[in-house]
Amino acid sequence: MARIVFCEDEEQIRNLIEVAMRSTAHTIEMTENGREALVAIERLAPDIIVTDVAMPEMGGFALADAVHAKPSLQGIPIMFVTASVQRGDVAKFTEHGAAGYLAKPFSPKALREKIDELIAGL
Amino acid sequence: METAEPQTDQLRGVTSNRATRAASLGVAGVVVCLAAFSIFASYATQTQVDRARLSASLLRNYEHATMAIRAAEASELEYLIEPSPEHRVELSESNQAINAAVSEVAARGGKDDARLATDILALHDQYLVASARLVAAMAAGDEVEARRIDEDEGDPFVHAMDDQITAATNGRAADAEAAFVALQNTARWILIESPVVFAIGFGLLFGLWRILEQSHRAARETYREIEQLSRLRSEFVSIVSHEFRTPLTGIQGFSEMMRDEDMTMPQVREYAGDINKDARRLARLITDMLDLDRMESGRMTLNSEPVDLNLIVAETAAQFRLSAADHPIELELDSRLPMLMGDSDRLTQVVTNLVSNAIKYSPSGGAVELRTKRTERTVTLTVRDHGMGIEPDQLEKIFERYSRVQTTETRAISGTGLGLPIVRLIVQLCDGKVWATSEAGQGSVLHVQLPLREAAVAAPLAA
Repeated sequence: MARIVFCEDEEQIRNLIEVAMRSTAHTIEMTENGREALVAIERLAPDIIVTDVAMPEMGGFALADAVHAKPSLQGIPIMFVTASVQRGDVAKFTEHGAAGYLAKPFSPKALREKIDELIAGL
Repeated sequence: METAEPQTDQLRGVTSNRATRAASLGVAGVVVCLAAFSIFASYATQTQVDRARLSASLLRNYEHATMAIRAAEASELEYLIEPSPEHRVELSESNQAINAAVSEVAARGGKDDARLATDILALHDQYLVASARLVAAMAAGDEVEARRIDEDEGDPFVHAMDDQITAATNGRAADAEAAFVALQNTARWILIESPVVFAIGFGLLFGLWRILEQSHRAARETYREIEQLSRLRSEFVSIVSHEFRTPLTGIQGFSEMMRDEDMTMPQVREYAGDINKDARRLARLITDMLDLDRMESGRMTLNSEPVDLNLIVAETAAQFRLSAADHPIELELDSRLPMLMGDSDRLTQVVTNLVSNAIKYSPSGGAVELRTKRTERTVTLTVRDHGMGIEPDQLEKIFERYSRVQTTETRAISGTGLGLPIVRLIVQLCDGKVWATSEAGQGSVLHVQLPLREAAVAAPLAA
């Protein structure tokens, strides 16, 4: 069982993630932008972070950079879930220390599998 | 989707290419003309200089021949007076000098000179015969016979040669004079004409250079515009792709769970509702894109029917009150507003897009105020929000198709940015205008002004 912080600005996708994760034993925290997510991460010290990239106020890359910059949070794997997965975008994921990425539209099963892979690597 | 801008750019590009080609041909033509003028002037000058030089040279040869003939005549007289061997040698040398001078005329002159030289040499041969007889008579001591030979046989040939040479010399002198006069005229012509010709030529070159420069500037500008349009288009495709993928994620995810997992009927209804919401979002996106395309390509026509703008505003506000509770919607509707002639659906779309825009750009909440006002010839609708406001340099750009397209990760507002471009196109189709005003941090106001085309029936005031 892992603690996972999700960060996604689209309400529909937040709903989908919540429903998709119901069948797992993981504890999830849902946030709407990078700033909220950072607060939740500092509070919960999760095992995994799953974040959208383009969001209001604070995007996924800025969130990843902020997490990597804090010594207490270093080492938490971050997975980007995004609608932009062209060649240049994938290179950016690596630049921002991504442990994995998932392209939208994604299937709930693929999301759970990716999370399981990250947990296995912990 | 096609837009009018690229066609305009292409047309401008074609015109620019034509201007460039014409100006380049013009430059080449002027340069060729100036070069031809210079070559012609040089050739004419050189020809006339050669002609004058030849005439002067031949004139000198003729003068040498005349002097040689006269010298021979003088030598003959001296020999008659004193028939010494020295005078005889002088006489012989004089005859050789005549021969050499006349041969020189033949060698350096033209056909006429050669013919003249032949005639003179023939006379000279006869003169030599007479001269030999004179020398023989003198050697025999018959001075009387020698004088007779000189007067009757030698002198006529000498005079004939002298006459011919003199006539030819005069002719050559006239030729030389004419050549110098022609050269003088040519020099004067070049002196006067060439500054004029070169001034006109350089004036033309300067004018054509300006045209070429403008043409190049236009080409560079067109290239920049095309480049920018291409970049915006690419960004637009990227954001549209993002906007399609978001609802597709819901549709794919919820439908897969309905397919693969056991669930209760309320859950099925809940997921179906989510799928339906995403499907409607996709449909709206496609409708917006198609509407915009139809309007931009001029394929959309508006209905003309009596429309109650106050009612449209009131109904739209009522819908948003349900879906956007954080944003109280306040109405200030002018009861003097008459029924207008217009397209009810499209005006509803205008109001909906404006209110939706106001709500999107007020993420922290705050009231949205809708106001209608009648003036003498127009009807104005204003939508005020208390959101983040619009930067001054963006006030016009927000109505452009690709304006709000952004691919940075901090995407403040969702949507393709098609709402306001659609508003502008509909308002333009109604012969109206739309603009935005904003103060930093004070929110923004979008103004729609429509011409007052009154329908027959007066409008009831909407609640």
